[in-house]
Amino acid sequence: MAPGWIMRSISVNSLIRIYLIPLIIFFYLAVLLIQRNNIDDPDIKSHLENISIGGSVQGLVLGGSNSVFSISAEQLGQYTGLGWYNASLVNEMGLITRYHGFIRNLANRIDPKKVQYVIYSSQLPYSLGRIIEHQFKGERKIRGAGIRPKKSVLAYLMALASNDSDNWRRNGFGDLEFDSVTCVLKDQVKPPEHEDVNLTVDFLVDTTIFLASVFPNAALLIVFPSEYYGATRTDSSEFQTTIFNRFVEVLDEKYQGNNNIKIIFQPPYFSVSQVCDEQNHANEYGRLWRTENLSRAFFTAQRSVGGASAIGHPSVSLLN
Amino acid sequence: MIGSTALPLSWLAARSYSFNFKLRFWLISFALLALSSQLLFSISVFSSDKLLNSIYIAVLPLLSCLLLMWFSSAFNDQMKQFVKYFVFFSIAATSALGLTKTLTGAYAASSTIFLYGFSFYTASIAYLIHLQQLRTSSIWTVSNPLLLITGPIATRFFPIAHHSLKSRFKYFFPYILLGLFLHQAIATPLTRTFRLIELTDIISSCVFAFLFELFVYANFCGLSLIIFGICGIIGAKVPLNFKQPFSSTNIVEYWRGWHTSLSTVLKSLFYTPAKRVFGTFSAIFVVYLSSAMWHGVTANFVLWGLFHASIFCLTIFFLKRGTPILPLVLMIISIVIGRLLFSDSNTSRLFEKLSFKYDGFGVLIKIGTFSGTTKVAVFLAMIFVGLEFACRDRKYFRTRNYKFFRLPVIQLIMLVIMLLTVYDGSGVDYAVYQR
Repeated sequence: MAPGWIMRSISVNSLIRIYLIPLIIFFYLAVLLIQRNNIDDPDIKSHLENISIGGSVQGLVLGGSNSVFSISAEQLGQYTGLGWYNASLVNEMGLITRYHGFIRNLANRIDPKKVQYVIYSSQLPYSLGRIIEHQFKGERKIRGAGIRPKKSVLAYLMALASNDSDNWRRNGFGDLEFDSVTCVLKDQVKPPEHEDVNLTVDFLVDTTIFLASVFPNAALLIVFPSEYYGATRTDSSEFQTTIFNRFVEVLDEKYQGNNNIKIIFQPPYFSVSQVCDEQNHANEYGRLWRTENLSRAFFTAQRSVGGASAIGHPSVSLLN
Repeated sequence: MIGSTALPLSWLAARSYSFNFKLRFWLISFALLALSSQLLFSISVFSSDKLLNSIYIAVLPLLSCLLLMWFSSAFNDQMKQFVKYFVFFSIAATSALGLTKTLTGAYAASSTIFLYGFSFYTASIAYLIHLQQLRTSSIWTVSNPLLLITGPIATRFFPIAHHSLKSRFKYFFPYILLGLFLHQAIATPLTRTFRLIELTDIISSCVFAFLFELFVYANFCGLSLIIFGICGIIGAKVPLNFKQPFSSTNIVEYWRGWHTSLSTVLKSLFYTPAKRVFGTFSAIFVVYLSSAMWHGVTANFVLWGLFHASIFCLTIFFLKRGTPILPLVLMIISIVIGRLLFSDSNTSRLFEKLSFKYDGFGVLIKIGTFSGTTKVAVFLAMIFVGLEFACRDRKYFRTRNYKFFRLPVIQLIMLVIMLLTVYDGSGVDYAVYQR
């Protein structure tokens, strides 16, 4: 007697074509939907919340992952006696226009006129090809992804396996809590590969003008981040001088405001014991060293190289 | 008699059906182009810029084709023998004037949107003039928005809508998946290797040429397969632009499988007439130089044309003598050196590369610094091409229509790899042969 139900036989090819392939496509669409509904970077939400409830903010740290790892707002607050907040974001949201939108959003939650210092420390202007990536050839990708996810599924899975940025914690000052990070130097240490100077300077000037418009009373500190280069001795003095001279030239043409502007070139990390997972990411010890080094830039006597240190004229501090 | 009155009516009906079908196909293609442009931008926010851009790149070539067709119709059949060459080489003229960029494989946006797809529809029109098949309805195929993205040149276009949608989908969808895999999982991440073009020593140049060849193949073939698949599902059979060129054992066979629609045009317009007058070997040189001019009017393309023509002739010579190994070696050399010549339109840098100076294997260290996605893409490309070559005489490879890669289990593997590795920003997205 035949059973009450009859099992239909199905070939492997049909199983794959009819069930598995559509299932994977459905899974892919689910990934897109989940990504779309999540905030780009969980830090964005926490920054916007923390900064609103944190009291008066007089010093702001902005920039990319090097600022996330390597600058401590809490430490700066102890040195300066002011209220600091580290609102840096890994990869600066991937797009210049989006990042500027975030900064404006941030400024709306505090009194931007009371901000006395803004530190902008980013790898973006100096590393080959990064500026163009972040411009997306002039196209604007606005909220919501296209049909490709922002981050690959493999990257998500690997982040789950290791302690990656999605699981990082930031404290009330926006500083990274290193006990939530696994500090293992992942990639080979590379010598610096600099971007075209004109491209770098245009980007820095535009960023400076933007920050000056949002924080009209703040001293703007454009910081060239520290990196670790291993045993290689690198002499970036020529590059730094070129950047500074061009920056002054272009800024004089474009900028008419009154903000005090400084470019600071921080020295490289001297030991691998100062770095976390990448050559421009400090660990806790490296952050302590770099923040102290940075704070000397605007609290101790400085040696000016070219240009006056008057309001509106950039000066450079070369720290070593 | 019934026969003599029925024939004109059925002929008219067929022509009318053909016209309606081509027009419908054009409209569907435009809709798909606009939709994909929007989806690649954002799935949640409408972009009027993208829609406008899609309209421009669809309508402007249509108007240009109309002008060209009107222009060519002004001549008698005898004059058309020259007009077709004028139309074909008009892209060379725009390249010489700097209005269109050369097709080295790097991003080649034209300085004017009016010339979008110019290289494809001029080749299509020239071909149709040659066959004396240029009709009013042809305008809808030669200016089809999907075909203008990256070809194929519309050398063949016939409706297959009489097959059920289900059977068309079953046959053509795997081509789309394969094309997406090649373009997204392999080609796009490989754009990160482009900075190697700056290196001029022999090892670096050859490594770059090899990687660039993989990129061009994955990009061009990938998009061609996607378009072939989409057209098939909509209901039209267009040429399959790539037929497993790396399943070849000599350069003659290789070119039979690479950009087949252009090969068809070149053969009809140049090889056949030139062979009658000048003989086989001279005709080969004419073909390659014409192809070079179509790609761009720069020194590297002339060198490329001369180089490939020479290798082609040499291969024929060795094949006639029955030596199988030398043609294979020649094929490998010609692919790498040919791509080296093809990819660099900076003449001084190219000549520096051609001095073949040795500077060690530092390029391999540079490759080590590429992102994980790029390294995976290189690996996948080598597997893909390696399978094509190694299994060329096996069951699923012999038909040279990617049958192995259309098997459900292989499609599943490719889909899983794509799902795991594809993301926005893995590299630069563009169509290698788009101008």
